[in-house]
Amino acid sequence: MDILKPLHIQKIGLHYLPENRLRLKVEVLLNKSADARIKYWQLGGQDTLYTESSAGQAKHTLVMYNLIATKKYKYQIEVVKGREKYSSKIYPFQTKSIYQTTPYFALDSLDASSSDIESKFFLTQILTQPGAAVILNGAGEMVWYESFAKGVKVSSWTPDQTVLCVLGSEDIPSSGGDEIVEINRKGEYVKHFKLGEAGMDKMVHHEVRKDAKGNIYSITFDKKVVDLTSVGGSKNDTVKADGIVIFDPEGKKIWEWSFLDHIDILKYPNIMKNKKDLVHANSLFDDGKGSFLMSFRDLNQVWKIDRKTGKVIWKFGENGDFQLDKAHYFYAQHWVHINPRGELQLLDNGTKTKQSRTLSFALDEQKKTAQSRIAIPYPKEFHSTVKGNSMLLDKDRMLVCLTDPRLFLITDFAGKLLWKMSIGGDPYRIEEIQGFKNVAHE
Amino acid sequence: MKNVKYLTLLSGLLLLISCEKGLEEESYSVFDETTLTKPENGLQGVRGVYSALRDNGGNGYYAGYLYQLYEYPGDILTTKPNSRQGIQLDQLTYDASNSIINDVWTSIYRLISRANESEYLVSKIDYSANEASRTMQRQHLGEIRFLRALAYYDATSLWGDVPLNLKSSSEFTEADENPPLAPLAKIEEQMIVDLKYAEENLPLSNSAAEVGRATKGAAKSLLARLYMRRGEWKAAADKAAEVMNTAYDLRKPAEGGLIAIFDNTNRSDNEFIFVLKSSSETGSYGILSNSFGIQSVPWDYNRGWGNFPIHLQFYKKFEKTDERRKLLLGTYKTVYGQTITIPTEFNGDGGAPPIKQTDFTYSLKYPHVNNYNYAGYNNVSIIRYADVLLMRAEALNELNGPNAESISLINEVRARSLASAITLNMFGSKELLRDFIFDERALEFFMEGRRRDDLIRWGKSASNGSNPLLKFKEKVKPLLRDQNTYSDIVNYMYFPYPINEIQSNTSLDISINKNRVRQ
Repeated sequence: MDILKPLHIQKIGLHYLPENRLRLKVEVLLNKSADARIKYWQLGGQDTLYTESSAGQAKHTLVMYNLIATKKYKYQIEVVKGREKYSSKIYPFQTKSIYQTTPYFALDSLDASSSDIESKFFLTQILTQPGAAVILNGAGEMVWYESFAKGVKVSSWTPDQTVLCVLGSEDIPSSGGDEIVEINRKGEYVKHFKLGEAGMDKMVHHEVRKDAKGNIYSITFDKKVVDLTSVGGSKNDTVKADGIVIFDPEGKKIWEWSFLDHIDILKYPNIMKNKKDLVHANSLFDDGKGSFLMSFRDLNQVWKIDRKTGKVIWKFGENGDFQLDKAHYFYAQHWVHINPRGELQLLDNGTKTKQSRTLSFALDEQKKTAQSRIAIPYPKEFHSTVKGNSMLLDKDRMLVCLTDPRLFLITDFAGKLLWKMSIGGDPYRIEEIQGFKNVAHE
Repeated sequence: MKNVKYLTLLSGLLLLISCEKGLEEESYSVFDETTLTKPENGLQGVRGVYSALRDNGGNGYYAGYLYQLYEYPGDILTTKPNSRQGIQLDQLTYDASNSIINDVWTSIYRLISRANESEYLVSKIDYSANEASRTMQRQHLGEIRFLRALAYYDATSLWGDVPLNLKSSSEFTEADENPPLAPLAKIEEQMIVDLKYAEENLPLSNSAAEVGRATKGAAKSLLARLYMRRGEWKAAADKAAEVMNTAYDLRKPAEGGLIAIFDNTNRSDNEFIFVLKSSSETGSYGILSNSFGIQSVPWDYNRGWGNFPIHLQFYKKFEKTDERRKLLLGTYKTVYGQTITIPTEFNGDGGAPPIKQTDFTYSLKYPHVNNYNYAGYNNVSIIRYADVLLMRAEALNELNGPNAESISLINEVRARSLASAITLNMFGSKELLRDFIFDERALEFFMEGRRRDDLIRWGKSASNGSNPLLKFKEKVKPLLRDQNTYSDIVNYMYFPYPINEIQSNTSLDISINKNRVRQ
């Protein structure tokens, strides 16, 4: 009789989740197997959002996300089987508040010329415990979050529309952690690597990204026991520096690299003074062409490293291999990457000049010359000695995170302020993300 | 043929009709797993408020930082010139950005906020419909209100007027996000209301497994302490009497006396009226531990950090037979084999080299014996029975001058520690007995977070309310490394409001710290 019975919904259960105020779960029971998804919209809002479609079953669990706190919504379940379609009644729900004593994220200003920023999405993180990975819209509202007992030290958005994080307690230094987690927009854990399990034998810090093949790469805390008696140390002295690790999607270690293999430790200047954190690596970027770009804060340099052989191809920055005008030197720089224009871009924290700026360079790797392309200085009162990042937004704007003043900014290339947000804690990075918004793809 | 067609049509129609009859309306339910409705959720809320007493940390609130604000600046505890914390508080060089001042404020308001949320939650749960008694609901409310009153007691002792918030966040208006300072009197009124509810509805005692929970006696004792602070001597004396001869007593010499109370294997005691419990289980560090142990004693004693040195003059105040002196580090052998003593001028053993004489003594109230890790298992006393006795003794003296009952109460506390008895004829005036009581309180309660309140109350009593800083200045100024840091225009009775609060609360501005810090 089922075949003859029209497609129909028997039961709907809406669940407000105790663990998350910006996600709701809906359980749907159909009278036969079919595909189901939810269409939902904010009252007075512009967009119609859709959950992922769940296929070929009678029982479905669907998750609504990309919601804003304390807003009224309506939703409707759409069911389809071949040419049969069925829509449920329309039901309401109202999201609850995210309790905080003071706003953690506050939009301070938005220039009238840049109202398009409001519909963009940004990923950032809460480092202190309990931590969270947070997605904001350009109006400064939280639209998604996932909280953890540990702090979220680093986060990045993957090509699979998932959030990748390094988790660690506050007493692990250098934006470091002992867990790597990947979560999708529904809040499901796609990966969970823990120190001491599978291939994770070292804590990671400052960076965690997915490459084009789906492998996860990160920076490690590396160390070596060395006889330093010839330079005034002990026989079994420990020298700590950084390394690189690549994990496959199952968490197996498929490649690693160590800074300590590329220097002569006994000849290294100030080895005794700096042996606890020799070079402070703080960013890692796969250029998609077979190399890594690694940033060393304490050297004021960026190194290019061959992904297969581990060979150091060149060093860029103060005392590097490239001709570089002193005016273009960068100090304690963060988030070195290749921008969409093919330039090497970084946030120059400017610890020497007491002024932070975004810099980008067109590098001639044969001639070892560097041409300055973008140079945007930020006001001295926005100087950040630690953390932070900057990335190109569209073609002509710059998105910046400055940690000491606890700000997110968008400026034009002349430095004019177009958008500013204040944060209630120390942010690590802000990243514009694509593919988060779940509108219909008909 | 026609008939067959009709028959097919008819049966088809009938089939359709019968199928449609089987269709039901989609059934719809909403499950709000975030709305808590069971009495066990009420208990979870209550537990959340208790955990805020240590603010989830090894150092937070009663687990460490609070007592720094109550013992510094003072005449017992001090800091070493290269101490990593506490120096600003100890040497009066603090300002609104001091991290301990900011941290304790946050911890206090976190407890208050949890208390408000839990009170709202518990009030909305229908206990009787869930087969739990209304008595349990009243007990839960009593615990919440007791803890909230304790937090407001600390906030007002340390800062005077503070924001008064009694609402759950779900009832906040915009104005509540930036509350102004409320007058001290109004806050104390609320504390009295809360403590009266608590004393009415809390049990007399708890089972051994529940020993950290508040009791009638805890509410009464805290109320007595509040009356003492307000100078309401009769109310205080009467309230203290209500606690006497009920569920509490002093730990007797035969049971090991005061030293045994602070032993870190002591899990509960009839002398503790309200105590912060700690845990020694693995994984407790930073969650259920406290930080006093490893911080109190010096490295060469048993690898402590020696952050809380104590003036040798204080060691000298104890009679040589007073058992309480054993809670201070006297002669000891270091981990390196050297013998350290206290100089004879302070009643120590002295001695010639290779014996080394120390410049400070250290508290042994929170020993981290048997664990080289940062987690302390020691109970942190918040209110204990000896305080009830001494409060009544002090209140009776303020009311009537030296009297037999005051002397007898003091002697109970002294006899327990084998110190000599005092007699009525030793005290010819209220002032003489008062001074003795405050010195006695130092001997009994050092490093239990009482000294600051005591010095201020002493000054108020001695000056008839006109100069609360009288005794504070007399005792603290001479011990400063640089006496010029003491300023007569600063009101040391209260700490400056923390800069984090001033910056995030739009109802406050920097002028509220005008005479609280040196300009």
